[in-house]
Amino acid sequence: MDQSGKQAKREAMSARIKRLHQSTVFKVIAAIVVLLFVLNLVTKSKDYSETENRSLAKRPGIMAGGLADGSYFKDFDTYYSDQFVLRDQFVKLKFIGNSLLHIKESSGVYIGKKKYQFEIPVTPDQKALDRTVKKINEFYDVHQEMKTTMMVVPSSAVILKDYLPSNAAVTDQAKDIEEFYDRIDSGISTVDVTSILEDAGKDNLYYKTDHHWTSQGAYKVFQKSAAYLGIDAPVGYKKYLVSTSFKGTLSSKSGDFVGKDKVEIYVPKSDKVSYYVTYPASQEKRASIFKPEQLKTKDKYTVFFGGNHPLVEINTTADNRRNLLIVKDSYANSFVQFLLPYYEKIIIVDPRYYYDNVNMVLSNYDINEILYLYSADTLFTDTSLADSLDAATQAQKELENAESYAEKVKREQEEADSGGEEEETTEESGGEETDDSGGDSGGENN
Amino acid sequence: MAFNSLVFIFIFLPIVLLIYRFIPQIAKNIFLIIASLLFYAWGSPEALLLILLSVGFNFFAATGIGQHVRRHGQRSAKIHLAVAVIFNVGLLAVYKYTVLGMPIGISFYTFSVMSCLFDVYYGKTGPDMNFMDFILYVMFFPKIISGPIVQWADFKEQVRDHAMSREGLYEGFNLFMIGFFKKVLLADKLGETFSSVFALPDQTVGMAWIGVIGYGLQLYMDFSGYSDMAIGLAKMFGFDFKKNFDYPYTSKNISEFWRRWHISLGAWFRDYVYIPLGGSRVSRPKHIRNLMAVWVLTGIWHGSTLNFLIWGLYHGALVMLDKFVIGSGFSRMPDRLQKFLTNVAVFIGWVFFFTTGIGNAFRYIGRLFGIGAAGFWSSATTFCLTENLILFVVTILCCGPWLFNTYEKLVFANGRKRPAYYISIVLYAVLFVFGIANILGSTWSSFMYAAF
Repeated sequence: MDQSGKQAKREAMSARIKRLHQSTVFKVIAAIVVLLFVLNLVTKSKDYSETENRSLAKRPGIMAGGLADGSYFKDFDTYYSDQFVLRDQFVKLKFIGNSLLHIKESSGVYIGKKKYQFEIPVTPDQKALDRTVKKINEFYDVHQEMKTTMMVVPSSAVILKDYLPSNAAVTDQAKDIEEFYDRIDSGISTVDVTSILEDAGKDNLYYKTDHHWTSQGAYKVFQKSAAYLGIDAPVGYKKYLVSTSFKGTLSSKSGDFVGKDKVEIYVPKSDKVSYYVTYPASQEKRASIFKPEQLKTKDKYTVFFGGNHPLVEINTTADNRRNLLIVKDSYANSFVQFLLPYYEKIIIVDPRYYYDNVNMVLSNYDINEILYLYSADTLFTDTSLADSLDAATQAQKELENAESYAEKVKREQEEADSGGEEEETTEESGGEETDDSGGDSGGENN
Repeated sequence: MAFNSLVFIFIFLPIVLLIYRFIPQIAKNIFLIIASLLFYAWGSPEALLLILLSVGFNFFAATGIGQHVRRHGQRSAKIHLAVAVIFNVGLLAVYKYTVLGMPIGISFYTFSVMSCLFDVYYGKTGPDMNFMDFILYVMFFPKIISGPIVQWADFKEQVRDHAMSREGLYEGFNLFMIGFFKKVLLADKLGETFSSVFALPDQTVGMAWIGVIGYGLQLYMDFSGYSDMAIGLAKMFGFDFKKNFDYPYTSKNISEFWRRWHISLGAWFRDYVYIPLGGSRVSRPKHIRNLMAVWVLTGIWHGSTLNFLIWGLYHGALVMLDKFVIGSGFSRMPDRLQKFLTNVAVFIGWVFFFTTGIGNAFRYIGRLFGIGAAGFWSSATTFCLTENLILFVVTILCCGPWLFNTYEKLVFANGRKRPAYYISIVLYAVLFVFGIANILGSTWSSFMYAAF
C-alpha cells in the first residue's frame, strides 16, 4: 500500500514536471517567434542580396486578380522568405547543421576538408570529345607550320584528392586527360598540367569556393611550361593581393558560404614591355588586363579581363614577331598575365562566344603560334571548340582547293596556250580565282 | 498553406491563436471557419469553390439520408446513399485520374464527407446536423490538407464542447514541435540526400538498399511528422484527434503494420468498406473478396498510376499470405525476426511509391537482389552511406518508442527539475532555430553570371 502510494506520488510529480516543461517550451519558442515576427515588421526591405546576387522579392500589392488566381499568396510567401530577418545567417546555419550531420554534398558540390568545395568532375561526353579530337587534329593538319601547344587543366578534385570528403566518388580525370593527349596529333606539344600541379604542393592552387585555379596555380604551371611555349628566360613577377573576401561560384551553387578566398594578381617586374588590351566587341581599350572595379562585384575572378569575351586583342611593345592565338575557356583568363612580356600580339578566342571564322583571326593578326588552354571539365563536354575549328578547317581547305585549282588552271592554261583551244573559258574561271586567293600574300593584304 | 511554411509559423498561427484565445466562446467556431477558409485559399483560391460545392452538396445529402433513415428505415435510404457516394467518388476520380490538376486535400476531405454520409446512414449519429458544424468538420485547417481523416461521429461529439485549456495548448504545441522537427529536420534532410543518391549513376546493390531505406524513413517522418503537427494544432484549439501513426516500423506482421500506419485511413476502410461487406465473419471466398476490395481501394487512393494499384495488391497479398498460409508458423518465430521480415516486405513495397512506371519498379527491385546491378558495393556507395549515416541512425532511433521513453525518463521521471530538464528546453529552442534555418535554406537560390 505504502509502496503503491509512493509510486502514485512519484507519477504525479513526473506529470507535473512534464506539464511545466511543456509550458516552458511553449513560452520559449513563442518568444522566439514573437521576436522574429517583430524584427520582420521593423526591418526595412532590402532590394538586393549580395550573397545570392539577385533582386529580392518585395511585398506584393493586393489586387483582385492576384487574390483570385493565387499569385498574391505565392508572391507573399516569396517576399516573406526573401526579406526574412537575418536570412543569410539562417542559411549559413543550415550548412553548419549539415556539417554537424556530416552531410558533404550540396547541389552537386562536394563540401570538402579545410573549407574546400569541389565541383564534381565531369565524365567526358565521349561523342563530343571524339569530335573535338578529330577537329583539333584536322585543324593542326592544315596548320602544321604553327607551333601548337595544348594545356588541359584538371579539376581541383583531381589535384586536391586529400581534401575531398572521404569516399567521395570522382572520375579519374587525370587518366581522361592522358588519353586525350595520346589521341591528339603528336606534332602538338602537350603540357602535363596534372603532374606539375601535383608536385606544387596543395595550398593555394585552386580557390576554395570557386571552380577556377588561382593565380598561383597558374603561375606554377607557367614556370614549368615556359620551355614548351618557347619562353627561354622568364622574367620575375610581383604578386599583389587584391581581395580577401572572394566567395565564388561553388559557394553560390552549394549555398555554403562558410569559406572565403583571397585573389592575387601577378605583374611582371620588368617594365621593358608595355601593352594595351582591346575588346573588339565593345570597342573598349584598356592599358591593363585587370579590371579592379570587378573586385567590388560578387564574381571576383572577373578581375581578369572582366570575364569571358568572344575575342580579346593584346598588343605589346615586344617587337619579336611572335603572335600567339589562345583558344580557351575561363581558366586561361588568369594565365595570360604571365605571357605578356613574350609576345608581340596575344589574341584570345573563346569559341563558346566567338562566332566568326577563326581563319580570319589567323590571317588578320598573322598568327604563328597557338595555345589551347582549357579546363578538363569544359573541354570534355564542349562542342563549340570543335564547331569553331571545323569551320576554320573547311575554310582553309576551300582556300587551298582554290589555290590548287588555280594552279591546275594555270597549268591547263599553259597547255592550252600551246594547243590554242578553250582559252576563253579557262581564263574566265581561273583568272577570277587566282585574283581572289591572291597566293600567300592574301593575309597580309587584309 | 503548409504548416512548415514561414507565413504559417510566424504570421498565421500566432494571430489566429491570439484572436481565438480572446473572443467569446460563441464566436470561436465561426472564427475557426473563417481562419480555415483563409488557410485553404492561401495558394489555391481556385480550389475553394470545389470544396464549398462539396460541403454544400454533402450537407444536404447527409441530412436527407438521416431523415430518410429515421422515417423509412435504413434499407430505403440505400439509394440515396449510393447516389451521394457516387457523386463524391466520381468527383474525386475526375480530379485524381484525369489530367485536371488535383485540388489540394481532395483525397482527404472527400473521405471526410463520405464518413459523415455513412455515419448518418448507419445511425452512428443522429440526423440533426448544424451547417456550421459540418463546414468546420470538413474545413478545419489542421486536418484539411493531409488528414488525419477524422470520422464525423468522433468530430460531432466535440464540435460544440471543446474548451481551449492551457494544458491543451501547451501539450498540443509540444506535439506540433515534435512533428515540425520530424518533418523539417529529418524528412526534408533525408529528401535532399535521397535525391542526390538518385542523381548518381552508381547502381550497386548497396546503393539500391540505401535508396529504399532512405525513402521509407523519409516517408514515415514526413507523413507522421505532418500528422503530429495536425493533431497538435487541433489540440491547441481544444480538439482531440486520435493518433495517426503508432511506430509502424516495429510491427511483427503486415496486418499489424496497417493498424499502426496511417491509422485513420485504415480505420476508414475498415469501418466503411470491410465491415459493411461482412469483414471476416463470412465464407473464406467472401473474406478474400472483402480483403481485396480494401487493398485495391487503398492502392488507388494513394495515386492514379498502376504502381499504386500494384502496391495495394502487394500489401493485400501479404496480408492474406499471413492470415491464411504462413501466419501461425510466422508468429512462432523470434520477435526480432518477425519485425525484420515485416519491414523488409514493407520497404520493398515502397519501391512502387517512388519509381515511375512498373518497369522501373521491377528493375529497381531486381537491383535490390543483384539482378541488373553494377556490383554489390562501390566507393560511391560508401560515400552515400556515410553521407546519410547520422541521419539514418537518428531517424531509425525515432522509429521505435525506445528513444522517446528514455527521454521522458531522463527529463521527467525524477519529479524534480534536473539538468536534463533545462537541456531539453534549450534543445527545443535550438532545434526550432535550425528548423527555420532549413526552411530558409531551401529557398536559397543564387545566380551567378557565366559559371565557366
